[in-house]
Amino acid sequence: MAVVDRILRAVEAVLVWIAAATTAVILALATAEILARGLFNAPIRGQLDLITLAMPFAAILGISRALTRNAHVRMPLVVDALPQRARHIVEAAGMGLGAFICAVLSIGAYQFFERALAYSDNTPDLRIPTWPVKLMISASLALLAVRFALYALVHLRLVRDPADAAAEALLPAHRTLEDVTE
Amino acid sequence: MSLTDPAILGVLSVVLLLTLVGLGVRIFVAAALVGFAGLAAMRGFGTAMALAGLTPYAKTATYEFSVLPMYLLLGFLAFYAGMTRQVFEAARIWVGQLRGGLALATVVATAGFSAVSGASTATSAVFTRIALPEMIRAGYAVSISAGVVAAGGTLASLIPPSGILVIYGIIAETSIGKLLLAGFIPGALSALVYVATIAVLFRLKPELGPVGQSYTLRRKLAATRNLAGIALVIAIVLGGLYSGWLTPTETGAAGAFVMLVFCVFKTGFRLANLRDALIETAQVSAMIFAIIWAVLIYVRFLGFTGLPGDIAEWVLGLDANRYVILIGILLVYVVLGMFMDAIGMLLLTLPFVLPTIDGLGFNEIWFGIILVKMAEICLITPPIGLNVFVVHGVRPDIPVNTIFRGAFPFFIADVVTVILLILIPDIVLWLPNQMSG
Amino acid sequence: QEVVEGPKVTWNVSLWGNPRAFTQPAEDFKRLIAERTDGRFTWELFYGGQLSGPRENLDGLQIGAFEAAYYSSAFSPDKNPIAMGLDLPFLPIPDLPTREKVIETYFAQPAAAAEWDGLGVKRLYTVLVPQFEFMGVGEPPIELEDWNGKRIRALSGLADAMSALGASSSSISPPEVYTSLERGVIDAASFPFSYAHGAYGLHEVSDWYTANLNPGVNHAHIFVSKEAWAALPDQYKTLIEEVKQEVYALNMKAMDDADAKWIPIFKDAGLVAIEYTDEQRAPWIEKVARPVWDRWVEEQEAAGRPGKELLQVILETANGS
Ligand code: NA
Ligand code: NA
Repeated sequence: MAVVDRILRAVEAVLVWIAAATTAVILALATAEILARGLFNAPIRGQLDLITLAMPFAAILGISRALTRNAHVRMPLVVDALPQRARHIVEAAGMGLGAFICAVLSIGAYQFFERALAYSDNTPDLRIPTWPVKLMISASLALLAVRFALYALVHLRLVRDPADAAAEALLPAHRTLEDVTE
Repeated sequence: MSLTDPAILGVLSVVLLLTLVGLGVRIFVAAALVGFAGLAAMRGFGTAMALAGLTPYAKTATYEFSVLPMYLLLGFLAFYAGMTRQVFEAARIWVGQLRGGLALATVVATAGFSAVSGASTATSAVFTRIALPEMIRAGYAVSISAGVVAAGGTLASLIPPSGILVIYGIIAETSIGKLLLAGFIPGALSALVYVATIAVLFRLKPELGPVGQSYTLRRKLAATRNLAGIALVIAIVLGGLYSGWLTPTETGAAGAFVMLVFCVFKTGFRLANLRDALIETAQVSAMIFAIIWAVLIYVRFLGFTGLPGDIAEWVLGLDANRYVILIGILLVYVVLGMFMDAIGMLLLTLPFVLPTIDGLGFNEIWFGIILVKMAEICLITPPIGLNVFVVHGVRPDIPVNTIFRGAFPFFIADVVTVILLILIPDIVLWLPNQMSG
Repeated sequence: QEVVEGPKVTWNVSLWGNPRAFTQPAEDFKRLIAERTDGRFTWELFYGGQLSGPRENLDGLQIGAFEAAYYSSAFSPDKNPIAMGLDLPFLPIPDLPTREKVIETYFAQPAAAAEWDGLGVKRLYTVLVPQFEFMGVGEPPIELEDWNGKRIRALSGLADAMSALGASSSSISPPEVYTSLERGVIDAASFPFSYAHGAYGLHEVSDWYTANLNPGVNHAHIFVSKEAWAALPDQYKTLIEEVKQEVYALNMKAMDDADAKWIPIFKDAGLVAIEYTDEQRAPWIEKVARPVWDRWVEEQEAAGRPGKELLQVILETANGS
């Protein structure tokens, strides 16, 4: 499990970098459009198509890393109040549901990619093929499904042995008030 | 009636969604899962899978939505440029000696920072890092301190730039420039009502926090000089928008770019800061867009049940005063807001609320501001309040219910603001009416 | 008229936006079919993109999410290269009755029909939208040369044609066009005339409009999925063909009504209508449109599709021959 976690972490780090770089590209494109139009009366043809296709990279590639940082919004009130074993059972179920829906979405997104490829789906103005972006989305969701599945397994391990420190270390960090205020 | 009757499915889906969310399942997982399950019940597993699989692409590959990561980046850059701290410092030096001074300073500073931040969540996040530790260190009650950063963040969605106003403008197909302008005075009014709320709270319960140090006028003016940077950004973003250099979507990139230039010329800003700002933007974008597309899978399912259309028809068929209907609609938003996030709620309801509002003869710009204000209220009310979760995300040590408790007085304040906006529509419409030619 | 007997059939129809002149044909089909079958064959219309975003409507039909939908061939040009022939700029189609004839003749060509079949859909109807016209601010483009240096909002083929005149085109999204015109980001924007200009309120911020530039149309169609069509009883299929003529007639009337409503409003708002003479238009078409047509024909022929023949069909039908 630790090995899988390390591999996933490496992939997630690369992906969030690509997402960050794409955000910079969107910034550069939009700024270039504003300046080119404002100063030289020469708007960049098709920048709408380019930004449209760049958006999924900026908006989705960081999704799995966000899970490792516990950044996805949730309501942990009830879960946190449960006894340890019960908490891990509920958490495992929640992660399992996450793995299931992300796998489903990944397959659905993959079919969307297949149709885009088969039917030459492209953008209206520059006519750029959309299939690479759709494939990227399917892959991101598949990665997220694996990440969820790994966390589900870790929680299951903790159901068996709540004191398993090695398993606990694989989960997103859980800080306390004392840690932060010193 | 059978289990696959659309109305029954709709009710079941709400119950299931609330149960999953209550059990700590991540919101985007719960929304996507329930939406998918509903679609599968209506159209079969394979079709539901293919249909749900369209949404992550369809709801991110959207040009207008590029304004959201740009507004996030602008906010993060402003944070790394030290502007958050400068605004907060200036506010603290001006009002810190008053009763509840640091809380007041936080409200004033979030209002100021809202002029460079287009996202409530991002604003709450940065002030959780800047203002919250100072308040706790100074001995302020944790609850009210966390509540004020959660609520202060909501000002960012009214005072331009604002991501959610842009989304409303896109859906309502109305002038986004006017909408952004219309948010300004209501945003400032909200801040004033927050200020009054804090003044009353700390008068009633002085034990909530101590009084701070007072400073000389010279020191105050010196602190204010540091705000020249933020003023420059405001001038360029708003000036660009109103002079016609920029489309509303482009204000995001222009603001982020101007802030970046400002950062480059600022001593102490490193390339690593830019990298961190970009990576944080990527991560928060992934989180926000996951909710957007997941909620839209759920909305898709609701669409297939036909419930939104039926409800709109029923409302317009009512023989009642239009203000009674309006208040009814707003009450529905209060209920929805308990378990929806702002963007999800807007996307969910606008398709049938807008025709109703039009039919009743209300102004769409005015309603947009009221609605965004309602949506912002949702961000600080339980059980799902995104800003509260964001504060909790930055400070997992502070329990969610503590933050909700601290935000409650500001919920009351927001109700007062909404009533004022309804009674005096000119608070919203005066400024945009000045710009129409 | 006799009631058409048959089993109970319900189609979910995916539309985008609010009910408007553009979506009236779906309403008319719904009403006429329900009347003729005594409510046995019903169309459920879903507005506001409730079932699908506009661009994903074709995917929605392919995966069987709903039975019928609006879809515009310009959304993804390479998916339906043949259908894009009808979207070519400056086709000499003078009015809506001619347009109807051109559309029906064109899609009756085997190659054009096969294209939709390959995408898993059957075309029921093509919406008769009026031609694009520009509405803009500042100096009106009275002459060909006046377009030089103008910043405009136009897409694909029309953008190509206008850039040949020296105009630079930005691809601004529809909801941002109003503000962009108002604030001078662009000088002019093209939309179907007159209802779309009116609906977006462009006349509030404009000084002039072109009344007969007639630079072309982006066509939108009502499709049904192949499965839903195959499953439809024959008498209902015949019925759809029967009511289609009436829908076309109502479609034309709705567009005329829109003109009757909006053009006086444009005039009252003080807008100057720019009319071009045939002598002005003919050289334009040769200069800016012909090369775009030729390029489309070349692309089709290179891909083994009868581009030359198809363009011929359009031009001849438009000519009334
Ligand atoms: Na703001
Ligand atoms: Na809430």
